[in-house]
Amino acid sequence: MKENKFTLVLVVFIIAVLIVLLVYQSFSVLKNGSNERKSIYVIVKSTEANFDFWESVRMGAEAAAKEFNGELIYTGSQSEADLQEQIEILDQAIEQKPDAIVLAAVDFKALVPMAEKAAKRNIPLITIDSNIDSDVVKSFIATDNISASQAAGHTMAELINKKGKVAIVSYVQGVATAIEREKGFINAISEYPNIEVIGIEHSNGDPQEAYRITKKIIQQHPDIAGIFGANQRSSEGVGRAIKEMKKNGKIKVVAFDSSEEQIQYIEGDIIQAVIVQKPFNMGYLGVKIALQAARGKQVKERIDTGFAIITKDNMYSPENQKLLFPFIER
Amino acid sequence: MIKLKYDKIKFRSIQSHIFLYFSTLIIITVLIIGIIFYYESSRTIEKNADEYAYQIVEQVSRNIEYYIGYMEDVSSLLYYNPSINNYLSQGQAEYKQQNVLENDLEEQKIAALLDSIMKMRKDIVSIFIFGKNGKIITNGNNFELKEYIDINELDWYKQASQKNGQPVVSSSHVQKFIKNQHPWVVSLSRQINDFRTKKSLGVLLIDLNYKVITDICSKINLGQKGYVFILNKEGNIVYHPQQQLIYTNLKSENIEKIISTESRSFIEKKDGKKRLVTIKTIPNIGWKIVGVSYLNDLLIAREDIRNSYIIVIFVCLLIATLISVRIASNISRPIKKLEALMKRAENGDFNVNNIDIKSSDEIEHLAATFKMMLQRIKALMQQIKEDQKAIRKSELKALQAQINPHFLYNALDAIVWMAESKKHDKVVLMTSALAKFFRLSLSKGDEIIYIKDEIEHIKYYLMIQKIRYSKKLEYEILVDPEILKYRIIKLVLQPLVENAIYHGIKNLPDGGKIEIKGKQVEGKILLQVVDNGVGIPSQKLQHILENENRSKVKAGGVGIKNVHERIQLYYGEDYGLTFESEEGQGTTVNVWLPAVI
Repeated sequence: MKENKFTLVLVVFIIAVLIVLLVYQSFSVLKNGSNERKSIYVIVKSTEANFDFWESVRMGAEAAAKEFNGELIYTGSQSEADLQEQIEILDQAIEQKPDAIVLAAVDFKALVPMAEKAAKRNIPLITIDSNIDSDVVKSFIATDNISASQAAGHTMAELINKKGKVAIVSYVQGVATAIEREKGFINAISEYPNIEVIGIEHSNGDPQEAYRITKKIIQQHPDIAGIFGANQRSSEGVGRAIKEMKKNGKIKVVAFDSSEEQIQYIEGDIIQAVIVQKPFNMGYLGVKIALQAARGKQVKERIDTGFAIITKDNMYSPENQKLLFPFIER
Repeated sequence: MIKLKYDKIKFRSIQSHIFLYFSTLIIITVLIIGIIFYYESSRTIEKNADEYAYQIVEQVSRNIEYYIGYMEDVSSLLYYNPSINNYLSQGQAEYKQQNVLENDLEEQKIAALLDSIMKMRKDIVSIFIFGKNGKIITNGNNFELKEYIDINELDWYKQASQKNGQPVVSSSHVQKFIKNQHPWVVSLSRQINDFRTKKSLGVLLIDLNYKVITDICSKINLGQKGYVFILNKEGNIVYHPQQQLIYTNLKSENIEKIISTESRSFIEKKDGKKRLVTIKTIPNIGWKIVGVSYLNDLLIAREDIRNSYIIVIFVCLLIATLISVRIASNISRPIKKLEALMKRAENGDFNVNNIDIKSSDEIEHLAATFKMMLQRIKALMQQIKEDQKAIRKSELKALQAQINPHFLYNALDAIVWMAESKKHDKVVLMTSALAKFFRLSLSKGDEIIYIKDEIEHIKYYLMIQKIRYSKKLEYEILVDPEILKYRIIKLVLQPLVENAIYHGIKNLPDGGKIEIKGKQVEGKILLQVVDNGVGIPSQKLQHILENENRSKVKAGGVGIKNVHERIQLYYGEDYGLTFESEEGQGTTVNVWLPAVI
């Protein structure tokens, strides 16, 4: 009888072990199941092919989609400032019921109702680059624009020996990132009593407009010491005006974001410093975090992707050349 | 009900035992095989993974080596080209100023050579020859050098100068000395020396499109997540699919270990995932091609194996259950039949002929034996029934004997006669003896009585007979008091004494004597009735128990045979009556009985 009991216990034990294994197995299958392909909409501000910043975002997004098994649908309005089009695109995306949406918002307020619609349908919303005014956003992944533009302000102050007039050529009025960059720059400048900010102008992201604005500023303030271009397109316009008016070196320029054109201006001493964001990381982290959220994991509310200050001297360092020249195919 | 349930449990336990042994055997066997196979196969998978990754990495390194080798060949072609050597040495010597036209022609010829090389291979971005004499030759003319950059200070230039004629391969970088062009390239630079003087004439630069390398590496398949990257001799990244992430520390590679390790692969754990890192160094340029494959990708197959093993085990268990149920029912069905048969027997039904149990030998034997046993019991019961009948009959006879009317008449006659003779004492004696005699005969209906009572009984009988026969009958009772406590069937002695009186003594002219003796002999009780009467003729003595004379029974005695039969029915064949007799001398009847308390 004792022997039988022992055998019974043994069999029960083995069966129990098997069941535990099977449960563990199905659990890991579940885990794998949560690793299944998820569709992610990435809606950016501009899909223009030569807009380097968004092309880098796209590369990062694609890298993350490949690494974390996501199906990427990359879309966005043609032009940077087209709010109406972005609302429509977001609406269409929600109708497609993706597993998550990554959005670079062109407006801080106007996209809130659409974001809430997504939240109502349980589609996690991640914002990159520019946030919206809503707490349905699971995670906001961007450069800390305030500290980046503060760094721009300090760099500017060093370049103009901490005295003189400076102007800001910003892009779209009311866009969260623009507001932050203006604020950060002014914050930093306000630490220098001898520097005066003479004004903030908005180019609406059009280089030609920025060019006109810059010329106008220089004409009105011939003694201006520095100009801060708050994004790529605005900085390009600033550079064009400085180059045309042969003010290179006399008026210091600190720019935000880089492009091939700006690289020429750096090498031509027209732009002295560029604050470079890390759009690849933004795209990568945006999709990575979106996939995590789609798989029901907890995600960080705010992720800073960082920035780099690039000058003529350090622009060809291995790290910076990868940031300035993200595309090997050109 | 409770009993039935218990039986069921008992029956089930046969089945459960079989199931237990079966499943234990199956589980242990499958488990051992499974474990061995599982580890064997996962080892094979890991080994295969290692082998596969190494092959991939080797293939990549071979492709890259080919490209680099090709660039070296091109560089050699130009290095040993006499017209280039000649052209570069001209300026240095600073003569032949007059031959400007010839010079231009020479330069065009060289440019055409470079151009034809470029046309042959689309993967070369540009070829430059920077002469110490300030001359720059390249394919085509549509380029402008950046003024602020000093070519002599660029890495590839400096390294070529250090190597003095040996080709130098750079890491991947942006070529930065041409205006408006920033191609990603891998540069091969080589100092060109004067054939005669061995002095440096300038540096040759061949830029290979970096895309060639990224294409080679990015097309590689190392599982779902695996990838290949390249480090140069110093440990700088030449190619990495996520180079930007590495520069911003979102990703990292264990570069130190890769540079320092001697083995061709190692396994590391990163972000909780096991990765197989495979390394192949390209000999000449010192680049390390590193393949990273995620073992989890591969081990999915291993998990599949484990899954199917668990399923196999469960299927086996199921089969074991079915088989054991089948076997158990095969064994238990005949047992159950047998059990039903036993239950019937328990309830008194011994009809076993209609039961047919077919099974394995043991159970069939058991059933057959049981059947035989039942038949035997049936026969025995029949026997007992018959015996009982006989006992009842003989007892009846014995009882009839007690109320033998002759004995009673005679006794009552004697009382009457004594009463008439005013022998009151005798009347009282006779009547009370008669009463005691009958009381002992009935003995409260008990069949078995103490020897003491039997002796008492015969004493009263003899007393009554003595009164009747007076001087003609003498008697004596000599019984060992030790045996009085034993028990025997009643009415054993009285028929023998009656017989002795009527057939032995009564006809003797002077009367006779009867002795009752009792003692223990060899564990048996021996009671003797001894008379000194006429005796029994020997031929008659031989048949006295077989062929009892009917007339004698009629005459009054219950008969000796009846006594003998009763003893044997009760106590078996070892007991009963024996006779010793001699004509004219008397008869002794021995009654053998067991010593039963």
